[in-house]
Amino acid sequence: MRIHRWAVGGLVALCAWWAWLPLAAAGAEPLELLFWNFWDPALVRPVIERFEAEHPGVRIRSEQLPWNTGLDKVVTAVAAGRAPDICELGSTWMGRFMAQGVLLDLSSATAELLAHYRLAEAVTWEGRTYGLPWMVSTRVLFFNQALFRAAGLDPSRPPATWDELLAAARAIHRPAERIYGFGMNAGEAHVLYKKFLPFVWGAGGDVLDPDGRLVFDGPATRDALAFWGRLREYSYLEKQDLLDEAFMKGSLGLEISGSWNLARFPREAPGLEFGVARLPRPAADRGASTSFTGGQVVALFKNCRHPGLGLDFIKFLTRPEHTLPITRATMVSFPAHRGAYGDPLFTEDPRMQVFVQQLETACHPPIHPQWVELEAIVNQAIERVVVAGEPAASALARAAQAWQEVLARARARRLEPASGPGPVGRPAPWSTALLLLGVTGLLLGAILLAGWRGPRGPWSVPPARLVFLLPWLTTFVLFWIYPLLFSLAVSFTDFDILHPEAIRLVGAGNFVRLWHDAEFRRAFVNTVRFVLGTVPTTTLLGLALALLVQQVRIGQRILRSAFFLPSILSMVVVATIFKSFYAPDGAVNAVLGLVGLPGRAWLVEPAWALPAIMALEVWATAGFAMILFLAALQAIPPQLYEAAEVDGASAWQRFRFVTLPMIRPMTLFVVVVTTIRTWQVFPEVFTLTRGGPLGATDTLVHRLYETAFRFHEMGYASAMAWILLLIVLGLSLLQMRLLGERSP
Amino acid sequence: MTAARHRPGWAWQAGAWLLLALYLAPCWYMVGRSFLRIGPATGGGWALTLDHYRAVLGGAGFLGFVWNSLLVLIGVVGANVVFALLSGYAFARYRFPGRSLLFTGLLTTLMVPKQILMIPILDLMVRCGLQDTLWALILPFAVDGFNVFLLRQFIVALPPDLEEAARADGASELQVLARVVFPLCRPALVVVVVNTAVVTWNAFLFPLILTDSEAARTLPIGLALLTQGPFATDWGALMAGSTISSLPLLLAFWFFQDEIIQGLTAGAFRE
Repeated sequence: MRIHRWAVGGLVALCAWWAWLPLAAAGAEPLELLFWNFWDPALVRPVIERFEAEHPGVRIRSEQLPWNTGLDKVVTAVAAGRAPDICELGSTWMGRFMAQGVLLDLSSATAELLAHYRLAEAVTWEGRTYGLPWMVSTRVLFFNQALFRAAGLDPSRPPATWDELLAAARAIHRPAERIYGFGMNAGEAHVLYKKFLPFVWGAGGDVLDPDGRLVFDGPATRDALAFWGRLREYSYLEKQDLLDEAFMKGSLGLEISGSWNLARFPREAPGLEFGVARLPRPAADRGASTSFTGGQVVALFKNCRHPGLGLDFIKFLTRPEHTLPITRATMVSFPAHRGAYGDPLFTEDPRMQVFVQQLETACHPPIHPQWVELEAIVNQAIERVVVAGEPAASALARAAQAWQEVLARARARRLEPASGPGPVGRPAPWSTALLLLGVTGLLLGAILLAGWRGPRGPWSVPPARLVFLLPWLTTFVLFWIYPLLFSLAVSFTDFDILHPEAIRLVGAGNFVRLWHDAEFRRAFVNTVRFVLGTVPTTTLLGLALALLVQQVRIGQRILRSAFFLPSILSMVVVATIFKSFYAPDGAVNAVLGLVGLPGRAWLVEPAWALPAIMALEVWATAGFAMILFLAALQAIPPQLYEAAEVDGASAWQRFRFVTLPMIRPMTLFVVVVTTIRTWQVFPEVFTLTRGGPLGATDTLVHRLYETAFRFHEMGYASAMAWILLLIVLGLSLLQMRLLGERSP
Repeated sequence: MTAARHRPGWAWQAGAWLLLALYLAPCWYMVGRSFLRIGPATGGGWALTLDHYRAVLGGAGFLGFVWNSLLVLIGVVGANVVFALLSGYAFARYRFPGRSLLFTGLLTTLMVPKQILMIPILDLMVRCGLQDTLWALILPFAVDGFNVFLLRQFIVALPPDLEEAARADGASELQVLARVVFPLCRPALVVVVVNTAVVTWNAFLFPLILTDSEAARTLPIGLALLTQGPFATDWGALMAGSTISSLPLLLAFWFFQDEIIQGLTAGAFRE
């Protein structure tokens, strides 16, 4: 009776707990605008307060987004009809957003205003304006003056040409002493092209010509690639944050980086003597010093509830007096409004002057609806040549071909700006939910009816008891069957989540494309390698740890908890820690150095990146396997060991003939759990490499995520998901047979 | 237990502790970095500081994030224990038409990447008016297929005699479940609790998509926002935040580890 009362009490408490949880927020105020942005609320709030003071009765609700997943969040919100009224958007995303007609056309109200802003091209598409630039940034050359002096170079004369840059890097580079010439970006999406394209632009090349034709495979790119190939020999290849760290520690002679370091270096490395200079030009008599520029713009989505007010707000927000404090506080980027540049912040600091001058000649990558795809193609071509050593000609030819395929698909998807009211709208609440609940009821009813053949039918119990299944069945239908049917339907279309009204049936087109997709095949192979590499290792390590911990009597509790600790850490945190361990001067290489082995750039070298992530996965999950094995080991009756000992069995024989058979069920369980987990490996790939270098760590779920949320090809991603599902279905049936689908 | 009969050699002891020290290197790094300041006051060297903890704990809304995470954790774990037991029992003991079809469906859900379901689920939550509430983080995860599968496998292996004896004594089906099956299922339920708690506590992607406002923000997202810089993460604060966020689960495990291991052992784990 006691347990029964406990169970009922627990259920009641649980229901009470749920009922108490806050439901949806009360209805919005009449004049409220939702503003999504990426900044620390402390920086944005003062501006909002001032705006609200000037506009009584208006409320701006500001919500902060994370930088590295913010775009995915905006895209999914647009797809679900929950776009905010006002949104900060990266300038390189604007081509897609503007071309797909999800933003409000502000041309009439901003036509003459735009002349006051830098980066006006980022908000302009086919002569119309879709927002206002907010902040801009650029990259310049940072050089360590102490290392210049030590290498016999003049610390007051930074390299002004490519040859001087190469010579300076060569003079400084002493890898044996952990001093490196130049910091070259590698193994990181979204950053490499920002550092490389300035060399192409400087040599007179570009990515697209004014008519939108690809010229990236031109001679300027080949020159720049050849130069980077030479520079690589005197370079430290890493991700941007690790390059900044290395520069701060004084082990990097030169790097291309941004203005945030002007605040960060003096704060965190006060002794560091460094200078900044504009990026070098190809030669003293040839080419130009140019750089990359990008930034943030603010735009209104088409569903903006009060467009006039929204426009007032973005004008207010981008005024110099409201953007200068952000620059002062973060030094990350500068006001887009030209009126800000008379401020002493820019005129009195010579280093800031370098940035301002560079901004004048800096280029923005082309504003194109397919820039996200093009960016990936450009990055891959650079990595192929610079990291993997492929000849420039073939890498560029492949890039041109990939671009043609992207364009052909885009043309087929008719990605033109939509006219009229946008696709963005708020759906009627409850309708779908009620429909789905009805479907659940019908399904259950159908099962009941179909099976109701009197008391001697296929039932072992009264059908009413199926109510036990109801909670699972409801979530199964709502959160699995419905989404899966949705994606099945979508997999036969070219559904673009930003452009839902242009949906078109493509039949089996997505599946045919999948069959020929080398990247998908590579992701499949990588995932299989990952599963085969981690599952046995995790299982064996878990068992070894369990056997070890079981031997220890003093402090066994501590050991158990401690080995379990990695399993409760979030994978994102684990990945972040390992990122610094895998750095060229990180802990892993330091340990290898102690035993005389050469270090590696673990996450940058294609051959080592996937094994490095496997090691991380094993480390993070072996503790969980250990706990399960410990339980299985403790359940073995001691008499078995005693009997074996009496029979003269050695320690190995006792393990082989007593322990192993007794823990077999648990071993199988551990293998199944680990397989399920590793098959879907995602957060560590997303945090560490984003599939790089050169696709070596691109796994199935990562590929699917990128296809759906970066390239917005929901139809194609759904086809991928269904192929995975069919494979999994086969595996499940096999598994069921393996685990024995016994009839009760 | 072998350890009970063999004198634990000091070599074993020392070996285990040494291995532990090495194995936990990433954790030492996390905790160490959270207490270190690398900055001007130290002339490029380092010094001990509590600043990172002050920054995180004093960050806007931090306690609210912890509270939200706790609410979601209790809701999801509680729901999974109850519902997985109910459904697992039904799958294991009742024979009804369509059972193997449903069970195959369940097995399939285990290996489908959830990322593909994000948009339909978000759409559903928006339509129900539950988006941006903690409900959106509880309902879709209230009955994880894996937990149902686990319970089903476990109950299938239990001898049905006890249940029949209870039924013969006039116990209702719910009473059989609560008084006979529930206690026997403790090992499997322990796995359900531990596994669900870890996954729920650390969830990032779905909470990011399904909630917007600070009022409904959970700890992992709150931490990511508090420590993010656009170009450089605040490492000290991130490590301090990670240390803080791993403490509740670690403490829970520390205090309940005997129960967990005993629970796992109680029914001699069978698949």
